[in-house]
Amino acid sequence: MRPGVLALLAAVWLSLSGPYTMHELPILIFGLLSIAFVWRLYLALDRAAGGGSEFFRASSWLRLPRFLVAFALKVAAANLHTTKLILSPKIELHPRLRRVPTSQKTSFGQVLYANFITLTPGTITLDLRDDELLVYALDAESEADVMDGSMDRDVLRLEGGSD
Amino acid sequence: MNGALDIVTAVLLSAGGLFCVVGGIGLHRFSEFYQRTHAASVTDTAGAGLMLLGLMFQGGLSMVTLKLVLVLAFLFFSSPAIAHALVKAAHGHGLALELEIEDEPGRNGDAAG
Amino acid sequence: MYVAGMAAIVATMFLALARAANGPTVFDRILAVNMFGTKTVLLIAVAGFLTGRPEWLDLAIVYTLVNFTGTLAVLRFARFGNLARDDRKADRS
Repeated sequence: MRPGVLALLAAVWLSLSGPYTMHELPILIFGLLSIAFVWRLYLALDRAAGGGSEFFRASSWLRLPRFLVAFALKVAAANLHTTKLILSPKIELHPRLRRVPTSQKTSFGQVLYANFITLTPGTITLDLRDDELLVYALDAESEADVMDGSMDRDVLRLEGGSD
Repeated sequence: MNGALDIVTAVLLSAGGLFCVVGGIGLHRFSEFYQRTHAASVTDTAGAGLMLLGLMFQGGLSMVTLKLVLVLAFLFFSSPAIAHALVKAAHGHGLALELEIEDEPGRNGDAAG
Repeated sequence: MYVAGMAAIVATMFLALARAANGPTVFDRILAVNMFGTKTVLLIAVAGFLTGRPEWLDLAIVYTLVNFTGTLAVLRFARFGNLARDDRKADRS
Protein backbone atom coordinates (compact mmCIF):
# COMPACT_ATOMS: atom_id res chain seq x y z
CA MET A 1 0.00 0.00 0.00
CA ARG A 2 2.68 2.54 -0.88
CA PRO A 3 0.27 5.02 -2.54
CA GLY A 4 -2.01 4.58 0.46
CA VAL A 5 0.74 5.79 2.76
CA LEU A 6 1.30 8.76 0.48
CA ALA A 7 -2.39 9.64 0.62
CA LEU A 8 -2.39 9.27 4.41
CA LEU A 9 0.60 11.60 4.77
CA ALA A 10 -1.01 14.17 2.50
CA ALA A 11 -4.25 13.97 4.47
CA VAL A 12 -2.45 14.46 7.79
CA TRP A 13 -0.48 17.41 6.45
CA LEU A 14 -3.54 19.05 4.98
CA SER A 15 -5.58 18.59 8.14
CA LEU A 16 -2.84 20.10 10.28
CA SER A 17 -2.08 23.09 8.07
CA GLY A 18 -5.60 23.81 6.93
CA PRO A 19 -6.80 24.33 3.37
CA TYR A 20 -4.71 26.70 1.33
CA THR A 21 -5.49 28.90 -1.61
CA MET A 22 -3.09 29.54 -4.41
CA HIS A 23 -1.89 32.69 -2.61
CA GLU A 24 0.13 30.55 -0.25
CA LEU A 25 1.83 28.65 -3.04
CA PRO A 26 5.26 28.54 -1.31
CA ILE A 27 3.76 26.87 1.76
CA LEU A 28 2.02 24.37 -0.47
CA ILE A 29 5.34 23.56 -2.14
CA PHE A 30 7.08 23.14 1.22
CA GLY A 31 4.27 20.85 2.29
CA LEU A 32 4.66 18.72 -0.81
CA LEU A 33 8.41 18.57 -0.23
CA SER A 34 7.98 17.45 3.37
CA ILE A 35 5.49 14.77 2.32
CA ALA A 36 7.92 13.54 -0.34
CA PHE A 37 10.70 13.47 2.26
CA VAL A 38 8.71 11.45 4.79
CA TRP A 39 7.54 9.07 2.07
CA ARG A 40 11.16 8.56 0.99
CA LEU A 41 12.03 7.85 4.65
CA TYR A 42 9.19 5.35 4.86
CA LEU A 43 10.36 3.51 1.74
CA ALA A 44 13.92 3.33 3.09
CA LEU A 45 12.70 1.99 6.45
CA ASP A 46 10.47 -0.54 4.70
CA ARG A 47 13.43 -1.77 2.66
CA ALA A 48 15.64 -1.92 5.77
CA ALA A 49 12.99 -4.04 7.51
CA GLY A 50 12.80 -6.39 4.53
CA GLY A 51 9.29 -5.40 3.49
CA GLY A 52 6.22 -6.58 5.32
CA SER A 53 4.58 -3.22 5.87
CA GLU A 54 2.01 -3.81 3.11
CA PHE A 55 -0.48 -4.46 5.84
CA PHE A 56 -3.41 -2.26 5.06
CA ARG A 57 -5.24 -3.48 2.05
CA ALA A 58 -8.27 -1.44 1.20
CA SER A 59 -10.48 -3.99 2.94
CA SER A 60 -8.52 -3.58 6.18
CA TRP A 61 -9.72 0.00 6.45
CA LEU A 62 -13.29 -1.26 6.36
CA ARG A 63 -12.58 -3.64 9.22
CA LEU A 64 -10.82 -0.96 11.27
CA PRO A 65 -13.90 0.31 13.19
CA ARG A 66 -14.76 -3.16 14.46
CA PHE A 67 -11.17 -3.68 15.55
CA LEU A 68 -11.13 -0.33 17.34
CA VAL A 69 -14.26 -1.28 19.30
CA ALA A 70 -12.76 -4.62 20.36
CA PHE A 71 -9.52 -2.81 21.18
CA ALA A 72 -11.25 -0.18 23.32
CA LEU A 73 -13.26 -2.80 25.23
CA LYS A 74 -10.20 -4.93 26.00
CA VAL A 75 -8.11 -1.95 27.05
CA ALA A 76 -10.93 -0.64 29.26
CA ALA A 77 -11.38 -4.01 30.99
CA ALA A 78 -7.64 -4.34 31.57
CA ASN A 79 -7.51 -0.80 32.93
CA LEU A 80 -10.22 -1.55 35.46
CA HIS A 81 -8.45 -4.72 36.56
CA THR A 82 -5.08 -2.99 36.93
CA THR A 83 -6.72 -0.14 38.83
CA LYS A 84 -8.17 -2.71 41.22
CA LEU A 85 -4.70 -4.20 41.68
CA ILE A 86 -3.17 -0.79 42.39
CA LEU A 87 -5.83 0.32 44.85
CA SER A 88 -6.23 -2.96 46.73
CA PRO A 89 -5.10 -2.50 50.33
CA LYS A 90 -2.49 -5.21 50.01
CA ILE A 91 -0.59 -5.38 46.74
CA GLU A 92 -0.82 -8.97 45.62
CA LEU A 93 0.80 -9.81 42.31
CA HIS A 94 1.65 -13.03 40.55
CA PRO A 95 4.06 -11.88 37.87
CA ARG A 96 4.77 -14.29 35.05
CA LEU A 97 6.67 -14.51 31.79
CA ARG A 98 4.87 -16.21 28.93
CA ARG A 99 5.80 -17.35 25.46
CA VAL A 100 2.97 -16.49 23.06
CA PRO A 101 2.77 -17.59 19.41
CA THR A 102 1.66 -15.08 16.78
CA SER A 103 -0.33 -16.07 13.73
CA GLN A 104 -0.16 -12.83 11.72
CA LYS A 105 1.25 -13.07 8.21
CA THR A 106 2.96 -9.69 7.93
CA SER A 107 5.53 -8.17 10.26
CA PHE A 108 3.31 -5.10 10.55
CA GLY A 109 0.55 -7.34 11.89
CA GLN A 110 2.90 -8.86 14.44
CA VAL A 111 4.04 -5.43 15.59
CA LEU A 112 0.41 -4.33 15.86
CA TYR A 113 -0.33 -7.37 18.02
CA ALA A 114 2.72 -6.72 20.20
CA ASN A 115 1.71 -3.07 20.60
CA PHE A 116 -1.84 -4.13 21.45
CA ILE A 117 -0.50 -6.35 24.24
CA THR A 118 1.83 -3.63 25.53
CA LEU A 119 -0.89 -0.99 25.46
CA THR A 120 -3.15 -3.20 27.59
CA PRO A 121 -2.22 -2.50 31.20
CA GLY A 122 -1.18 -5.66 33.00
CA THR A 123 0.64 -7.19 30.06
CA ILE A 124 3.77 -6.00 28.30
CA THR A 125 5.78 -7.43 25.41
CA LEU A 126 9.40 -8.06 26.29
CA ASP A 127 10.60 -9.44 23.00
CA LEU A 128 9.49 -10.51 19.53
CA ARG A 129 11.55 -13.28 18.03
CA ASP A 130 10.88 -16.14 15.60
CA ASP A 131 7.12 -15.37 15.40
CA GLU A 132 6.90 -15.65 19.17
CA LEU A 133 6.24 -12.99 21.75
CA LEU A 134 7.70 -12.91 25.22
CA VAL A 135 4.95 -11.43 27.38
CA TYR A 136 5.29 -10.26 30.96
CA ALA A 137 1.98 -10.19 32.86
CA LEU A 138 0.99 -9.06 36.34
CA ASP A 139 -1.33 -11.94 37.19
CA ALA A 140 -3.54 -14.67 35.73
CA GLU A 141 -6.47 -12.39 34.97
CA SER A 142 -4.29 -9.88 33.15
CA GLU A 143 -2.88 -12.47 30.81
CA ALA A 144 -6.20 -14.22 30.11
CA ASP A 145 -6.95 -12.30 26.90
CA VAL A 146 -3.47 -13.00 25.61
CA MET A 147 -3.34 -16.65 26.57
CA ASP A 148 -6.71 -17.59 25.06
CA GLY A 149 -5.68 -15.92 21.81
CA SER A 150 -8.64 -13.56 21.51
CA MET A 151 -6.39 -10.53 20.94
CA ASP A 152 -4.48 -12.53 18.35
CA ARG A 153 -7.74 -13.22 16.54
CA ASP A 154 -8.73 -9.54 16.65
CA VAL A 155 -5.56 -8.49 14.89
CA LEU A 156 -5.78 -11.44 12.49
CA ARG A 157 -9.31 -10.42 11.53
CA LEU A 158 -8.15 -6.88 10.86
CA GLU A 159 -5.33 -8.22 8.74
CA GLY A 160 -7.81 -10.01 6.53
CA GLY A 161 -8.13 -13.54 7.89
CA SER A 162 -5.65 -16.35 7.74
CA ASP A 163 -6.80 -17.60 4.34
CA MET B 1 -23.10 26.43 25.87
CA ASN B 2 -24.69 22.99 25.68
CA GLY B 3 -25.62 21.53 29.05
CA ALA B 4 -25.68 17.81 28.21
CA LEU B 5 -22.37 17.91 26.36
CA ASP B 6 -20.76 19.81 29.22
CA ILE B 7 -21.86 17.12 31.64
CA VAL B 8 -20.47 14.35 29.42
CA THR B 9 -17.18 16.23 29.16
CA ALA B 10 -17.04 16.80 32.91
CA VAL B 11 -17.66 13.11 33.63
CA LEU B 12 -15.06 11.93 31.13
CA LEU B 13 -12.49 14.48 32.30
CA SER B 14 -12.92 13.50 35.94
CA ALA B 15 -12.76 9.79 35.10
CA GLY B 16 -9.59 10.37 33.09
CA GLY B 17 -8.08 12.42 35.89
CA LEU B 18 -8.95 9.68 38.35
CA PHE B 19 -7.15 7.07 36.22
CA CYS B 20 -4.17 9.43 35.91
CA VAL B 21 -3.86 9.74 39.67
CA VAL B 22 -4.36 5.98 40.10
CA GLY B 23 -1.45 5.39 37.73
CA GLY B 24 0.63 7.87 39.68
CA ILE B 25 -0.19 6.06 42.91
CA GLY B 26 0.67 2.74 41.29
CA LEU B 27 4.02 4.17 40.32
CA HIS B 28 4.73 4.42 44.05
CA ARG B 29 2.94 1.37 45.41
CA PHE B 30 4.45 -1.21 43.07
CA SER B 31 7.81 -2.41 44.26
CA GLU B 32 9.58 -3.31 41.06
CA PHE B 33 10.41 -1.52 37.82
CA TYR B 34 8.62 -4.01 35.56
CA GLN B 35 5.44 -3.69 37.61
CA ARG B 36 5.61 0.10 37.53
CA THR B 37 5.50 0.07 33.74
CA HIS B 38 1.97 -1.32 34.04
CA ALA B 39 0.96 1.57 36.31
CA ALA B 40 2.37 4.04 33.79
CA SER B 41 0.40 2.28 31.08
CA VAL B 42 -2.83 2.94 32.99
CA THR B 43 -2.26 6.70 32.83
CA ASP B 44 -1.19 6.50 29.20
CA THR B 45 -4.26 4.61 28.00
CA ALA B 46 -7.25 5.19 30.28
CA GLY B 47 -6.16 8.58 31.60
CA ALA B 48 -5.14 10.17 28.32
CA GLY B 49 -7.84 8.38 26.32
CA LEU B 50 -10.75 9.45 28.53
CA MET B 51 -9.56 13.04 28.90
CA LEU B 52 -9.03 13.51 25.17
CA LEU B 53 -12.39 11.84 24.50
CA GLY B 54 -13.99 14.30 26.90
CA LEU B 55 -12.40 17.23 25.07
CA MET B 56 -13.62 15.80 21.76
CA PHE B 57 -17.20 16.33 22.91
CA GLN B 58 -16.39 20.01 23.39
CA GLY B 59 -14.71 20.25 20.00
CA GLY B 60 -17.69 18.88 18.12
CA LEU B 61 -17.29 17.96 14.47
CA SER B 62 -14.40 20.21 13.61
CA MET B 63 -10.66 20.48 13.01
CA VAL B 64 -10.19 20.60 16.78
CA THR B 65 -11.60 17.09 17.17
CA LEU B 66 -9.45 15.86 14.28
CA LYS B 67 -6.38 17.20 16.05
CA LEU B 68 -7.44 15.53 19.30
CA VAL B 69 -7.78 12.25 17.40
CA LEU B 70 -4.29 12.78 16.02
CA VAL B 71 -2.85 13.41 19.50
CA LEU B 72 -4.57 10.25 20.72
CA ALA B 73 -3.27 8.22 17.76
CA PHE B 74 0.30 9.46 18.25
CA LEU B 75 0.09 8.70 21.97
CA PHE B 76 -1.26 5.20 21.31
CA PHE B 77 1.54 4.47 18.87
CA SER B 78 4.37 6.00 20.89
CA SER B 79 3.50 4.80 24.40
CA PRO B 80 3.81 1.03 23.69
CA ALA B 81 6.97 1.65 21.70
CA ILE B 82 8.51 3.48 24.64
CA ALA B 83 7.29 0.88 27.16
CA HIS B 84 8.66 -1.96 25.05
CA ALA B 85 12.01 -0.19 24.53
CA LEU B 86 12.32 0.50 28.27
CA VAL B 87 11.46 -3.03 29.36
CA LYS B 88 13.65 -4.64 26.74
CA ALA B 89 16.54 -2.37 27.66
CA ALA B 90 16.11 -3.15 31.35
CA HIS B 91 15.85 -6.87 30.63
CA GLY B 92 18.91 -6.83 28.40
CA HIS B 93 20.73 -4.83 31.04
CA GLY B 94 20.09 -7.68 33.47
CA LEU B 95 17.65 -5.97 35.84
CA ALA B 96 16.24 -8.78 37.97
CA LEU B 97 12.73 -9.97 37.16
CA GLU B 98 10.56 -11.39 39.95
CA LEU B 99 8.56 -14.28 38.54
CA GLU B 100 6.15 -16.91 39.78
CA ILE B 101 5.66 -18.67 36.45
CA GLU B 102 8.03 -18.74 33.54
CA ASP B 103 7.60 -20.58 30.24
CA GLU B 104 10.66 -22.62 29.22
CA PRO B 105 13.38 -20.38 30.56
CA GLY B 106 16.66 -20.25 28.70
CA ARG B 107 16.22 -19.91 24.98
CA ASN B 108 15.07 -16.32 25.01
CA GLY B 109 15.19 -15.79 28.75
CA ASP B 110 18.54 -14.02 28.94
CA ALA B 111 18.27 -12.14 25.67
CA ALA B 112 21.20 -9.79 25.41
CA GLY B 113 19.43 -7.52 22.94
CA MET C 1 -14.48 21.12 35.13
CA TYR C 2 -11.30 21.89 33.18
CA VAL C 3 -9.67 23.07 36.38
CA ALA C 4 -10.51 19.79 38.14
CA GLY C 5 -8.98 17.82 35.28
CA MET C 6 -5.87 19.99 35.34
CA ALA C 7 -5.56 19.54 39.10
CA ALA C 8 -5.60 15.75 38.63
CA ILE C 9 -2.98 16.02 35.89
CA VAL C 10 -0.71 18.21 38.00
CA ALA C 11 -1.07 15.85 40.97
CA THR C 12 -0.01 12.97 38.71
CA MET C 13 2.92 15.04 37.47
CA PHE C 14 4.13 15.51 41.02
CA LEU C 15 3.80 11.78 41.71
CA ALA C 16 5.81 11.06 38.58
CA LEU C 17 8.44 13.62 39.58
CA ALA C 18 8.76 12.01 43.00
CA ARG C 19 9.34 8.65 41.34
CA ALA C 20 11.86 10.22 38.98
CA ALA C 21 13.69 11.76 41.92
CA ASN C 22 14.02 8.60 44.00
CA GLY C 23 13.50 5.79 41.49
CA PRO C 24 16.15 3.22 42.31
CA THR C 25 17.13 2.43 38.73
CA VAL C 26 17.70 4.67 35.74
CA PHE C 27 14.81 2.90 33.97
CA ASP C 28 12.39 4.00 36.71
CA ARG C 29 13.49 7.56 36.16
CA ILE C 30 13.08 7.40 32.39
CA LEU C 31 9.63 5.80 32.81
CA ALA C 32 8.57 8.55 35.21
CA VAL C 33 9.90 11.32 32.98
CA ASN C 34 8.11 9.85 29.98
CA MET C 35 4.89 9.78 32.00
CA PHE C 36 5.53 13.40 32.96
CA GLY C 37 5.78 14.21 29.26
CA THR C 38 2.48 12.49 28.48
CA LYS C 39 0.80 14.47 31.26
CA THR C 40 2.26 17.67 29.81
CA VAL C 41 0.56 16.89 26.50
CA LEU C 42 -2.76 16.45 28.31
CA LEU C 43 -2.18 19.60 30.36
CA ILE C 44 -1.58 21.66 27.21
CA ALA C 45 -4.71 20.24 25.59
CA VAL C 46 -6.96 20.90 28.60
CA ALA C 47 -5.45 24.33 29.23
CA GLY C 48 -6.10 25.21 25.59
CA PHE C 49 -9.80 24.49 26.09
CA LEU C 50 -9.85 26.30 29.45
CA THR C 51 -8.52 29.50 27.90
CA GLY C 52 -10.69 29.07 24.80
CA ARG C 53 -7.74 28.63 22.49
CA PRO C 54 -7.87 25.08 21.08
CA GLU C 55 -5.07 26.01 18.65
CA TRP C 56 -2.74 24.96 21.46
CA LEU C 57 -3.47 21.42 20.31
CA ASP C 58 -0.80 21.91 17.65
CA LEU C 59 1.68 22.34 20.50
CA ALA C 60 0.32 19.17 22.11
CA ILE C 61 0.89 17.20 18.89
CA VAL C 62 4.45 18.46 18.58
CA TYR C 63 5.08 17.75 22.26
CA THR C 64 3.88 14.16 21.82
CA LEU C 65 6.38 13.56 19.04
CA VAL C 66 9.24 15.36 20.81
CA ASN C 67 8.51 13.44 23.99
CA PHE C 68 8.70 10.15 22.08
CA THR C 69 11.98 10.98 20.35
CA GLY C 70 13.48 12.51 23.49
CA THR C 71 12.67 9.51 25.67
CA LEU C 72 14.20 7.13 23.14
CA ALA C 73 17.29 9.32 22.90
CA VAL C 74 17.74 9.43 26.68
CA LEU C 75 17.17 5.68 26.87
CA ARG C 76 19.81 5.11 24.22
CA PHE C 77 22.16 7.46 26.02
CA ALA C 78 21.59 5.61 29.30
CA ARG C 79 22.37 2.27 27.68
CA PHE C 80 25.25 3.12 25.38
CA GLY C 81 26.55 6.37 26.87
CA ASN C 82 26.59 7.82 23.38
CA LEU C 83 23.97 9.22 21.05
CA ALA C 84 25.86 9.52 17.80
CA ARG C 85 28.08 6.48 17.52
CA ASP C 86 27.33 3.99 14.78
CA ASP C 87 27.29 0.56 16.39
CA ARG C 88 28.75 -1.17 13.35
CA LYS C 89 31.73 1.16 13.38
CA ALA C 90 32.17 0.62 17.08
CA ASP C 91 32.37 -3.12 16.54
CA ARG C 92 35.11 -2.75 13.99
CA SER C 93 37.37 -0.50 16.04
